[in-house]
Amino acid sequence: MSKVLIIVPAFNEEGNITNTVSNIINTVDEYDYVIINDHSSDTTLDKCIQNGFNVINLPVNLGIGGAVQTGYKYALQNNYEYAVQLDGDGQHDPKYLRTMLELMICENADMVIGSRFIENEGFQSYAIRRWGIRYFSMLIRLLTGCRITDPTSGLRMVNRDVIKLFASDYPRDYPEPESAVTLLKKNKKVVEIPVVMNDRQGGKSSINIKAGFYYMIKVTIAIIMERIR
Amino acid sequence: MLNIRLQIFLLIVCLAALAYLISRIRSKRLDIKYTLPWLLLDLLMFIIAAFPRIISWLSYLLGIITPSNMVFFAALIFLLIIVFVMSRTISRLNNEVKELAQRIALDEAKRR
Repeated sequence: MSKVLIIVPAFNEEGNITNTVSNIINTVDEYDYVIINDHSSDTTLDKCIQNGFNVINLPVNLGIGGAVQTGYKYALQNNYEYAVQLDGDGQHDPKYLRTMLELMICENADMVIGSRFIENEGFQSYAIRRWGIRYFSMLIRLLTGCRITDPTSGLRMVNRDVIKLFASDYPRDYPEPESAVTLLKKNKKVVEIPVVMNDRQGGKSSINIKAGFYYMIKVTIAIIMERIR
Repeated sequence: MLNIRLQIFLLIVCLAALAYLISRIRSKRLDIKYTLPWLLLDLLMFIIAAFPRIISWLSYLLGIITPSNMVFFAALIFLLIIVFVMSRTISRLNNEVKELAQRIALDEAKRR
């Protein structure tokens, strides 16, 4: 068994899941992976089963946080040393995983985040989202003094300590910025590595305009709460 | 003092609400645990409607000019408390459902 687990959260990704997972298997076949099917209403689960992929099937829709946490629980139960989250929509390229692990080990880091905004290459998301991301980045800097250029990135690798932490406590929705602050507050080492992301290859983002407002407000409160906890 | 018509209206509403609550509990569609605050609210409203002097005294104490406003204010506060307790219960239930769903999914994966 490998010591690294790739967690692939998937909700209605029938168009992407086969490519994403084949890409993982072809690129980093020394790592294990697990797909968390978040009660998709399309054929995501069928696609996984047809292809013989390793899939965990949630009986109700839990949202991204609950799905990813299932992955961390799986990592904990199966004694993985590292877990890395890689979205099921084809945004993240598994070719970065080895570099992330190297950085993780040589920097002795607790979390490595793949950031779009260090070298500003590839898909940079849309203006309005970039503003949102910059705002979270500023807020985190203000409250923790640490610089995280891409706090919403879903490409993130953590070590065993953090796997344990996330398995017992992980935010339900929009978990990325909040969980980064949790780690910083516990004096964990969070480092970033430049990556190039693609626009999603199909399917829909979990965040639309209406949800965007809720996102901003919820995460702001969560980050502040995390700070004063 | 409360207006006599408001007093009668309140008494009728309280009795009707009480009858409804009891019928729900009898048919076991409501847990007694979650009906207690409503029963208490009903009882309080009933006492107030039957003995409006209490409310005159309370409103004088709190500086509320019309006693009927005191009734509404008290009911509002009580409702806010009930709703807040509901929010807390929902949060807890949500978390329990999440834990159960994850447990089921992980166990199912283990059996394969």
